[in-house]
Parts: sequence; structure tokens; C-alpha cells
Amino acid sequence: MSEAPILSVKNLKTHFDVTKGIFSKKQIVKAVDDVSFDVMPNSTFGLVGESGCGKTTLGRTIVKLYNPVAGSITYKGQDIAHLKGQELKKYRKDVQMIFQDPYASLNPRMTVGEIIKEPMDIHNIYNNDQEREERVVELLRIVGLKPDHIRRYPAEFSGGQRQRIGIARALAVDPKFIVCDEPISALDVSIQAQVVNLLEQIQHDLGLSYLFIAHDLNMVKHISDTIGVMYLGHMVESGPANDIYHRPLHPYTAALLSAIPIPDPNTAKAKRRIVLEGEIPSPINPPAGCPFSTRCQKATNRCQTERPEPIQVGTRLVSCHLYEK
Amino acid sequence: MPLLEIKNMVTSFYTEQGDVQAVRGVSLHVDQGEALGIVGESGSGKSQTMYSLIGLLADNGQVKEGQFTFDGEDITPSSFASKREYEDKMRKIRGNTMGMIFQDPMTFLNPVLKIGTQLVEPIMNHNNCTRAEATARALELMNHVGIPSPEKRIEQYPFEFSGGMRQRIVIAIALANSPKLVIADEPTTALDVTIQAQVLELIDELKTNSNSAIIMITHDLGVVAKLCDRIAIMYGGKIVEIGTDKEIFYEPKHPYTTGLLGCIANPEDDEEKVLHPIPGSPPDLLNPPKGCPFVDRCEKAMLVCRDYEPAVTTFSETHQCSCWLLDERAVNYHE
Amino acid sequence: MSVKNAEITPELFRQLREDEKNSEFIAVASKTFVKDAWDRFKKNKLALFGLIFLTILILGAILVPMLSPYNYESQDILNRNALPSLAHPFGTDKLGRDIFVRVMYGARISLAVGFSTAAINLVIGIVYGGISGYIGGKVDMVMMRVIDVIYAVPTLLYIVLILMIFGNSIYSMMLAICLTSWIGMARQVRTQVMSLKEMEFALAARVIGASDWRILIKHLIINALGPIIVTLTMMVPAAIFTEAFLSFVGIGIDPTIPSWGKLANDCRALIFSYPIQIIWPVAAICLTTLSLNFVGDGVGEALQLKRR
Repeated sequence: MSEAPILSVKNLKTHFDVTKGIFSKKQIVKAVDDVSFDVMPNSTFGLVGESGCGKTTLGRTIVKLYNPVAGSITYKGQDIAHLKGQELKKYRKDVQMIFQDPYASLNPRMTVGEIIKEPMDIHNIYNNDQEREERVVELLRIVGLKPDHIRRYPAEFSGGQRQRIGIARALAVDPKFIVCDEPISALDVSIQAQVVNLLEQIQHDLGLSYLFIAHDLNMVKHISDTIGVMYLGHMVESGPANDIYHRPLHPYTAALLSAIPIPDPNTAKAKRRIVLEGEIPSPINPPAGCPFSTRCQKATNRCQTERPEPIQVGTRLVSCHLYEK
Repeated sequence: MPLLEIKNMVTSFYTEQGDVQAVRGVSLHVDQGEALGIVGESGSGKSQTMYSLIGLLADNGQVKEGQFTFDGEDITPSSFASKREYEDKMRKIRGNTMGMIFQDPMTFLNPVLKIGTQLVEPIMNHNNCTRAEATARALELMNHVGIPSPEKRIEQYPFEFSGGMRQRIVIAIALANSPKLVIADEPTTALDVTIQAQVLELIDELKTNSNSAIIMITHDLGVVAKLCDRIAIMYGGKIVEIGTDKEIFYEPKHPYTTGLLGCIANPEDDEEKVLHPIPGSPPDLLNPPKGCPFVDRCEKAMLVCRDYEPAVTTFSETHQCSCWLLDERAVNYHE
Repeated sequence: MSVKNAEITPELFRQLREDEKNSEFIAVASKTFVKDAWDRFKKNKLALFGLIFLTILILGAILVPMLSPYNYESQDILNRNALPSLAHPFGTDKLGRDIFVRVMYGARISLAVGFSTAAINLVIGIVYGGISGYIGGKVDMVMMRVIDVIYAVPTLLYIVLILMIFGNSIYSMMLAICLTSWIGMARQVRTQVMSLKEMEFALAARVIGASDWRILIKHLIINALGPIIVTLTMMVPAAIFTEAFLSFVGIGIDPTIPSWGKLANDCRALIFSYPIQIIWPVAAICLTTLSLNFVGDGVGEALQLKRR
């Protein structure tokens, strides 16, 4: 681990003002609150958590769709907060995103060729239109589509085919880092494996790094080297994928993993789940102490008042008072 | 005699481009107290099979063939004198002996009625009891599905409930009259993992405690592994393989079933499993393939698969599969 | 269902080669966006009728005054208040002027007013509504309050004022109608842009580094074209109607020019003695308005997206 991380996130906070009207009390949604992690070159960082935990917001903050209120994102040693002009364009070329909904992520009024060619036009790579067209055909081949699909519109394709067009668009500018925002959750089982294998193949061939956001815990474990577990805007635990799945430390991680439906009747029917009481608190009024303290069976008084700092336990970082010496 | 029996169901939808043949000859049965999982991808016809059965097809859909028996009664649409008579009959059955849970609870709940009203009315309608008795039963049900402080919640509207809570309400309504059969169509797809586990346990309890039969329609093999005794695999509007949970997971016969199992990652596996995706996309049921629907995506497809429908091969009393590879001539030819 | 066993020969059990399978098959035929929209538009009979009527009317408006032996002012004193005949298809008015030529000339005025105000509204509405919806926040709030203020003053007041100040030419009429009617377009564009800009394809455009103008035009406006065109086609009849109404009550454009409203007004006095004369301009107004509405509906439907 002596290598420098390709992307480093430190104490990142992304908040949204959801105050209604001018005179009402100010209401802030703390979608991402004090999150830190590193992504190593040529590796995959899996981000898991339930809806509303802030994982999508975190991904969108990294690609600069949202502006953080505090903290820093460092890409290849450069703070990206104040990138402007050419430097921002360079960052946009290096860092791409694959979206969740294959039905919403492609402009329905553009042909497949136009969609994949647009990033090349914007960044002015390749000398002329013909070279770009050749590159589009090559990208289509990489994602397993046919050259004659180039003049078709997105509506004519199935979900999995559309998702592969989205991947081709992201690859068009030769990025180094791709944020995959739940790229398989809208797809059928047999198609999910196609997309996951494609992403792994591309990573192997081109040496990319991924931030892989998902709520399907089985696939995340499969594709990721490192995993971060988010709850209510916080990263409660992060570490190597196998370690986390085999011996979860944070009580929330343990509960989450115990709830995964295992695709094996003998194991699934024998498996007992850690029961979680209640529901996720509102991110407008999060608990004062540990975000999980309202539902944690091991919570003490201290958990309700004092927020735990991330501490190193073996290979992992855990934010939980149980592991403080 | 099984609780539910479907014989050779054929359903199609009229569209501008032509008839979409969503269900193409499905036969299955469900016994009292057992859970049957119907697994398939979108467009496999798994949901339309159930909508055809319970009489809730969209306006352009029509059951063309088939015979359905439920609880000793014939509920085939064509066996009724008029459409009205059929609908009256099904209205009596639904919410009484047959409960339903849908993927999106809001398609089922009326947003402008209090939760209490939506729970109490069906109980009163089907049981001939007073409002007070029905309310008591409603509170008991809400308590049972794990809704905290039901006395307060019963006065609230659906929008005041979270997604998981709404699904519990729908389950409570489905359970209101101790149904003999509960049909659940992707009941947990929209829910988070921890909430999904809670809802699945609730459905499982129903089976053990009240001996109801369950039909679980899903695309998630993890869900059926946890909940179901028998599993039917649907593809292209047909059941390609049916068997007990162990037969399907441990001794799959159809290349599609094997393919599906090769597509999923199991976090319990220690060494890294290589995923084997099924290439291509599902068939278009506007022009369904003449032979086996899986032919274009099957690794082992043969010339015969394209134009001839495979016959059903029986392995055990519970395990059946339709595939040409199981034909002795295929075995001989390859040897 | 069951196949005769004899039909199935051992050769049929040969394994298929990869190239004999068609796994990335796309069933629907490829169509360009315009062709697809036109195919669906054609199916709507009312819209097709509207389009044909408008085409004939536009051709008539251009050609009839050019080719006819009469112009809109020439009088045939001996032939006043004549009933329709071969020489005068719609008859003549109280001064012996040919009503057919006058109605066709009126079509020039009405269609010019209708289409040019709609075009001006389109440009202003897209720019104003697009900017307001795309930037959002405080800018949006200020821009919308400006609209509210303009909207709060009665439209008729503006129109009368402008016609008084700039004289009663066709241009001041267009200006007067445009002054308030672009608001509807701006609001429509703003609503569309606001909902579309949160769609993932718009976010994707930002991630690939597209400029704000590129996103606004190529990704947002083009996807809002359906509702925009519907609003546009509803604006044309509204403008025609306003012009006709103002001319009818006598505060419209120059009274020597025979706009449809003016024609109707001229025949008003004779409504009991020669009722047929008033039918022509009124029918022209009604049919044009109706046709434009049909076409608008048809285009709106044709441009709607279909999912596979």
C-alpha cells in the first residue's frame, strides 16, 4: 500500500438546503457528512448502503455535479475544488460516470453514434470526424454491440444494451477513473453479469479505477477490492472486501450483511438475520452521537451523545465506540 | 387435489404492432401450505401469468386458452356466462381467499383514504361483522406485521408511511381474511436489503403459522432460495424448468437455469467465482421463436431447437424440464 | 404442439454455430426521428385534415390576390350584395367588392400576425424560460417575478396603448400581441427545462464536460420540443383570434386593410338582410383555429417518446 491513491477524499461534506419559503426555519439535509476514503490505482472501491445513505450524492460530488461545503477531493495529488477552464476540462476527461437508469441516461433524441461521439467532440480528441466515427465503431465492438447500431436511437435497445452504450460513452474520452452509480440495479440478472464482466474486462485491459456504488451486496463483493459501508451520510466501516464480508466489525455492517438473501437454499433457509428495529432517521435531524445509535442493540449512553471517530482495526477503519481502547 | 391448478394458460396483448404473446402455454399447480417461486427476467411472462389468473389483466390483454381451478372452483374466464359474472366472482375471491401483494404498494393503497378505512372495510365486507370488531382485527393485524403504535397509525394516510411500512400495510390487508393463497409480485424489489429481509420473514411466517400457500414472483434467486419450496423458471412466456428448491439450485437441467445460476455472485463463496453471463437479450414476444425461446442465447443450441418445441422430460415427481438436450437422440448424436 | 417424430431427423441435433444465433437482435425497424414522428402524425386523421386545410389556405392567401382579376378594393358597383356565383365564388359585399378575394387577402394578414407572433414568442420564450429554468435559484425567482408583474396588467390595456402610440399598423399589432403572449411559452419552457435538467442524460452531458449552452439546446430544449410545439400551435390561433377581435371592435389595424375581423365587422350591419356575407370571414376564422388545434395535437402526440 505504498502506492499513492488515485483519488483521495478527506472529511467531505455535501449538504443541501431544502428550506421551503423565505421565512421558514433553515433546513439542511446532510447527505454526505464527514466522509474520508482513498481509491488506489487500478482497483475498485465498492460503496454500499441503503437508500438515503448518501452514496449517490458522494459519487456525484466526486464528478463535480454537486459542490461540497467542506472537505477535499484530491485527484492525482491535485485538489479539484477550484478547478476552472482547461484544468476542469482535463478533469472531466479523466473522470467519467456510468449512470443507474439505462432508460434515462441516454438522450432519446440522439443516435447511438452521436451519443458516443459527443464527448470526443467536446474534448476535441482525434483529428477529424472520420477518425471519431472509427473510434465509435471500435467502442461499440468493445461493449459487444454491432457497428450498424450506430444510426439507431436509444429507444430501440433493451436495458442491458443501453447500459453498454452508456459505458461506451464513458470510455470515449479514455478516462482513468469511473464512478459507477448503481450501474446494474435496473437490469435483469443475466444482463447484470454481462455488465459486471464487461466492467472487469475493461479495467483489466485499460488499467482503470472504479468507484462502484450499489445496493446489491453480492455483486459489490464480487467486483470490489475495497468496500466502504455508508449509513446516514457517514462511512461507518471500510476495508478489504473479503475481511468485511467475513467478519464485519460495525454493528450496522453486521446487520446489513446478515440480511443479504443468499442464492443457495440450504444456507439461505438456515441463516438467521440480525433484527434491526425502527427505521433510518431523517438526514435533516440526524442523531447527535453515532448515526446508528437509535437502532443499534449494543448502543450505550456514550453512543447517543458522542460521535465516534474512525479508528484503525487491523486492515480496516471503523467508526464505532465499541472498538476504542 | 391441489389448491390451485393452471392448465395450459395462453395470454396475449393487443398492440399496434401486433399481438404480444406474453404467456404461451403455462401449466402449474400449488398445494396447500407450500411456497412456489416463479423466477424469470422482465418480459418472461411471470407477472402476466398471475394477472391472467386473478383477472387483473390490462385492458388490451386477453386469456386465450387455459383452465384454472382454485379451491375446488372453476375460475376460467371463459367458463362464466358473462364478463360481469366473472368479475363479480373474482372480486369476491380476491382479498378473501386469495390475497395479493404488489411491487409498488401505492398501486394498491388509495392515497386519499386513511389506512384504517382501507383495512377495516375489506374485513367488514367479507366477514359480516361490526365496525368495532373489524377495527379490533385491523389493530391486531397491524401489530402482527410489526407496525409500532397501531392505534395512532390507523388514523394516518398512506403518504405518512415509509416504503417498507406501506408494504407491511399491504401485507396486513392481504392477510386480513386468512387467505388460502397469497400471490406476491416482486414484493421486495423496491425495498432496501434490511427491510426486504423483514418483509420476507413476514411472508414466511404466514406460511408456517396459517398454512397458506404462497406464489412468489421475483427475479431474485436469493429471495426464492430463502422462501420457496418449489421453483418454476420462466423464459419467453413458458416454464422451461420446474422443481423443488434443491433440484433447481443443485441439479439444474435447463441451460437457462444453469445460466442464471452462473450469473449470480454468492458472497459466501471464499474463492473468487468467475461470472458466466448469458449473452444477448431476451426474445421479442411480438414474434416469438417457433421452437425453444432460449435458442439464440443458448451455448448448446442445436438445429432442432429453432423450429421444434422441446417436449417435457420428467426427472422426479416434482422435477420437470423442457429441453431438446434431454432427448435421447441429442445424447446419442453428441456421443 | 406435438410434432411427428418422423419429422425430426438426427441431423437436426447438430449444434448451432455462434453465427447462426442472433442474440443482439433488434426487432423494431430503424427509423429516423422525423420519419417516425411523421408516420405517427399521418395516423391522426383530424391532424392530417388540419394540415391539408392550412396548406390550401396558405397557397390561397399567396396566389388568389395575385391571380384574381379583382383586387381587394376594386368595386363592381352594379353587382353589390351579390350571391355566390362563378364570377364571385363567395359573392360581393355592399360596395360590390369580391368577398373571396377579400377573405383570401385577410388570410395573409391573419396568418402573418399569427405565425410571426408565434415565432417571436418561440425565440423569447426559449431564451427566457430556458435561462430561468436552467440556472434556477435566485435568478429564476427574479425572472419569474418579472413575468408575474407583466402578467398582472390587463392585456387589452397594453394593446390599446401600443396601437395608440405606434399607430395601427400590422407591426404594432404584432408587437402588442407579443408583449404578453411570450409569457406562456417562457413558463412552458422553464417547467420542461427544470424537470429535464435533473434527468441522468443531462447530468451525463455535464460530466462529459459539455458547455451550458450545449446542454440547454442539444439536451434539454430538443427533448422539450413536443410540448413547445404544442404550445406554439395553440399560440397561432390565439393571436389570430386577438387580431380578429380587435379589428372587429374597431381598434385593430388600419381599417382599409381587410383583415378577417374587419370583414366580419363590415358585414355586421347587413346580418339580417344578407346573412351569407358574414359566414365567410367567420368560417375562415373558425376553420383556421380548429385546424391549427388539430395539427398541434397531432404534432404533440407524434413527438411523444415511446419506450421499447
